[in-house]
Amino acid sequence: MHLDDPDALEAAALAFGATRSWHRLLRQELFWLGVALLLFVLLFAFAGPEVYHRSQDYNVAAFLMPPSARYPLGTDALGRDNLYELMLGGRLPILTGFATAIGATLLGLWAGLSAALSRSLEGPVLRVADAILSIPQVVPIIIVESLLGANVYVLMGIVALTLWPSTARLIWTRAIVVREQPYVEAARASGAGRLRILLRHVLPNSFDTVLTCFATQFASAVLFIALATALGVGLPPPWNWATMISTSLGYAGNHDWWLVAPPGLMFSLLIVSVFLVTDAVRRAWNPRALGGGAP
Amino acid sequence: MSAYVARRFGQAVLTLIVVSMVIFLLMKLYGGDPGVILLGRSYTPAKAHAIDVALGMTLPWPMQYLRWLRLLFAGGLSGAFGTLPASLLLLVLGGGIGLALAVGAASVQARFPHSWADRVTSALSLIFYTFPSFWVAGLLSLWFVFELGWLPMVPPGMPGNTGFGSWALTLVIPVLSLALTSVAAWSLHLRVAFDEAFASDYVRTARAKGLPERAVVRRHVLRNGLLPLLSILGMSYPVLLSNLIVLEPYFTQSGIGGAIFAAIGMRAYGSMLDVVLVLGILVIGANLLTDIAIACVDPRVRFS
Repeated sequence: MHLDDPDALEAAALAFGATRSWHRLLRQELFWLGVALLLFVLLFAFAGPEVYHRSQDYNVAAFLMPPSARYPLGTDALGRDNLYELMLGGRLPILTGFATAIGATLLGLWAGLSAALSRSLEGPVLRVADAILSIPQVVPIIIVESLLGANVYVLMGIVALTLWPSTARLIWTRAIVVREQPYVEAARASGAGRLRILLRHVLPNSFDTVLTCFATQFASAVLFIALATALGVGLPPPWNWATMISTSLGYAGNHDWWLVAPPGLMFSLLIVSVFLVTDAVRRAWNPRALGGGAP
Repeated sequence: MSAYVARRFGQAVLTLIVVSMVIFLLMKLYGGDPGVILLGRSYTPAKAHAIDVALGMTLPWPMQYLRWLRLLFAGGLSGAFGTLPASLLLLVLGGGIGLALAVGAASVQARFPHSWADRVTSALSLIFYTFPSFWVAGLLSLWFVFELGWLPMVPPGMPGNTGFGSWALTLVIPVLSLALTSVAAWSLHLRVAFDEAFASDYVRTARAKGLPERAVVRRHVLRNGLLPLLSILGMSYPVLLSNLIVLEPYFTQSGIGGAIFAAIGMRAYGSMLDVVLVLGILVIGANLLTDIAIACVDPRVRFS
């Protein structure tokens, strides 16, 4: 390798930096805690029902039974095994949550970057984002799902459309700082095009912001889909954690904590695990954040 | 100042008109045919037409729009606007208690960073952020209503639950769940603002001139944190209202959320959209008040 070749030097530095980042990532205890929790939740929902297979038939002889050796998490009002339902109930919230959050983050990234790089788009994009940010997120879900007919794909689309503005705003704030940096000016002076500046400078330097945005979008997506489901305009019943909570609240007079508590805790485990993983990655790639900062 | 308020008020009215037109359009497209709904099995085209004429459905759309607005406002608190007081009360109480908790948590976190108090309050508020609000409400009612029996089981107005005391007790759970699930978002932002204030020159000067720490916090840090507090409040109405809409059906039927939930259940989309317009007025009004409050605190806003 010729060390006087600037490209080779840059590649070596990048490789060196990247390995350093990986080391920093793998050394963090909270990263491993997050990975373990996330793996647990994913295996619980997707592999669990294959291993712990139970009948979904009604069993009137065993309704609302508290946890026991036979039913580790008790039974519901129709006598079905609650642990088995809890496993099945994770699939829809997890899949819709990730899909919606990825969609919202990409949409927000695209909108935020176009606002930062194009003077003519800046005003309109930010104004539309602000208008959407002032609407209670549940209202468009209610209107679209009740008037236009319920459908999981429409639900994910409408949630993503209500969530992207917060990402767009944060990315825009970050990108307008980056775009005024001397190295971007240098790149522009040496004839780099808009796309190259975007891909080589603005995007890598906004990486930590994108990760933070994805984590909060994921939490919002999962929780707003759960809220809509509790109102009866979200995910289809019967098997999802939100429906399990709202139906069990209907007959909570029976002290059936084993029906109410587990689905909510699963929501929390899922979101916390994504927070821990994304935050560890963000800290590893941006060592200035290692010292502390908000969780 | 008055020029700023007038301009902001004009914008709010304009937004409200646009929102009401969109809702009216949705109602015309999806509200259903009143003849079909009212007549049911005794439907004949002639009778349906008579109903359409009586309800003004044969008028041109702009006239129908004005007629709809007039009826909506003429109904007063007996119509869709009757949902406003109950929701407003929950919103103010839940938001107020949540804000108070957030200010407390953020000032402790900023004043004693990396202490156990910092860690515990940060972790607790983050955990409550990841809980669905209606689940927090469900657990609280399981514990305080059914297990301990401290709070009334029947909703207010029902037999066995009359009078102010028991009515106030039914507010406890929705207000608490609203407050607890909102603390994290607020305290995170506030903490950043307080951290900046603690690192600022004016705080160093205040300490250097011998001001006791409590006075530094109250007079300099909290007062400078008021502005970010107001703008965070402005950003968080949507989330608060979303949670409120979902919590209400479980605790009180008389608010916006209760009415929307009931209307979804009956597929009464027309009355649902009436309530959505009331909600729109609430959102626009709250944003207007926040902006005016920000302008009062920060002169830079009203002169820009």
